[in-house]
Amino acid sequence: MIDVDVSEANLDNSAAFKSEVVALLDKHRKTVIIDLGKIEYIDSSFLGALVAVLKHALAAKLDIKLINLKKDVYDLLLLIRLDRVFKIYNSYNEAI
Amino acid sequence: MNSTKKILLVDDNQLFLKILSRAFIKAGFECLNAESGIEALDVLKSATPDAILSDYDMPGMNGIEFRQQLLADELLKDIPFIFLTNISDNKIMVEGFNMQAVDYIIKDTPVHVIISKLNNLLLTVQNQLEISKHELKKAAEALNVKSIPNTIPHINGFEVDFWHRPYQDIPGGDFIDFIKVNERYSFIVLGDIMGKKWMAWFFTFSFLSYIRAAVRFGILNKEYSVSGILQKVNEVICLDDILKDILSSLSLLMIDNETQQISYAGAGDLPLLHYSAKTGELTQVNSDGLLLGLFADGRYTETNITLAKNDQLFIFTDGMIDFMINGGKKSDYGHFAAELKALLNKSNSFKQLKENLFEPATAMQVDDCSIISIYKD
Amino acid sequence: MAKQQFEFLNSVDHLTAAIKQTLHFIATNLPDNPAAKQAIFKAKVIITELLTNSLKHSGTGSTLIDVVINRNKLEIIKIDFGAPLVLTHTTRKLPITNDVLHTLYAIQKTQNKIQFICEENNLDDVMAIDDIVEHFGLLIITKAADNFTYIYEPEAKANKFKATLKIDGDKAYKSL
Repeated sequence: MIDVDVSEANLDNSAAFKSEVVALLDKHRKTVIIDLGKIEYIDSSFLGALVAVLKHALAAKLDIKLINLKKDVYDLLLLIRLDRVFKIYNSYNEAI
Repeated sequence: MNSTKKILLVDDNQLFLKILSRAFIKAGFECLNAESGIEALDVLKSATPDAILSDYDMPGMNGIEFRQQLLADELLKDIPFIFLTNISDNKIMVEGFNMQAVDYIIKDTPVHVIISKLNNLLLTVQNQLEISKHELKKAAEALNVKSIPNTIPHINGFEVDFWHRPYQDIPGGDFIDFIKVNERYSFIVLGDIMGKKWMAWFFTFSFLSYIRAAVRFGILNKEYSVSGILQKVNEVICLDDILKDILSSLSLLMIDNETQQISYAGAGDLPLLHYSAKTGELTQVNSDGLLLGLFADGRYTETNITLAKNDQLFIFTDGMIDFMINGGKKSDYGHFAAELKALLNKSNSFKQLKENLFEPATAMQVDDCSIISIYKD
Repeated sequence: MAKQQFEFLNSVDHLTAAIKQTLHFIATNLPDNPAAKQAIFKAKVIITELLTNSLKHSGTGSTLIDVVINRNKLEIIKIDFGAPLVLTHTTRKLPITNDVLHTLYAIQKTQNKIQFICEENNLDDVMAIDDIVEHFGLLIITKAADNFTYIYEPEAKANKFKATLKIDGDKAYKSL
């Protein structure tokens, strides 16, 4: 299990984020837990990266969990109904 | 459906186009004309004809190239296509048939014969469609497989009712089941398989089988937990070779008629709506499970719902809240909830709801619609 | 009816201020009920994505945002004067991006008008991972708005992206 700490989710680092997580997944880690606690707002590039990462994980039968989402971020996921496909937990302890 | 048939005529010869279209119009068809493949493609951006007749030999984009363009387009490739030609060369005819042209008509043919051929073609296409639908319905009946129950269940202390309409009368991805396991426990199942119409329908049977098995085995093992049962259903679906690529939402409820308690677990479904008779308010009941078929170790949680006397609980699929807007589908949960609440404040007869809310919306329906209502006596 | 135009200078520094300004106008012109709050949240998402899109693609100096509020409709229109959006194929429904559940399509309605719509798909309709990220913003706007279209006005050489939100005054239901 690996934690990925991300502090600012925007245009600039979404591509880097995506490659990093995909690389982690490729190393056959069973589960990747992504801590979004420091992110105030996710934009589409980052969300797109999250979805791309999810597809990669599904194909490789690996697991992805999101923790510590702030209200606006969670509301956005609800809006586009991605809460039906992402495992979302309130804390690290809940996720393991 | 006997509406006027629309034909698209494509030919670089203006005179021929005029003669042919005049004859077609006289015969009761609606005619669209184009003098080149490019013009035809432009026309096709805003109109969908029932058949296309195209010249073979045209300057610029010839008939074959035009046909190739059509075949490359998801929405255009299945429109019946006929080549009009002056050439009776066998080699070229074969090339045309390889492009799935339905027929070749030689331009020298008398116009009324051309029209006749076209009429026959359109009739055959229509008949084939009817036959396919009919055979599928017969097959389903013969196998006695249904994904929607015929009767409403009787559960002590509650009145359960449901309403379902498939999209355009083609069975779709929604499935409903009422499972009375023993005198005390009954289960209510509502699911919605994502994806294309006919395909979704085939999978409903497999899904229902797994769910029924999981419910009955669960009760036999004295496991009275809806979330546990949902968990098992998800596990086996993820293991099933065919079903694991199919995603489905599921609402699972267990009614204990001794304690009169309802427990609920959901997988990627819409929140339930709980109507309180005392306050006249409509409250959402949310679930946090992911869609079935996504992750094998998905965790599901359950909620207990207590209905006070005259309260009502509604469980429904996407189709109830979707509507058509400008060629796309839009969902509006809030709008549906508001309309429901307004009607419930007047009367909570399910029959009234059917007449005033569900049935009139049929014209705008874009998907299978299902809704189950549980009313506490 | 309330209407106002805002200018965004296509720079990262101006982004937050521009969003705040536009949202403030919307909030002061809508009633204070749950339905309006939902609309404001959706508007925030739409405006953020529209402006980010400008940052990425339009190239030219600035972008204009028109906000029009009627009794039951909120329209957010982004106007810029950069290169027009052209669909590369003449096919009617062009898939642009998808998330796990939906595919975003662009439909050429007329020569200068494109409609964006979302349709459900199954797991096997997979798009290359890189393609997903590129246009995800358009998918979000399409899901958030009730209607999302693109119009090119040749006389003014203007690109107009229009997102429409219905505001139903009577939406009163409680969430747990």
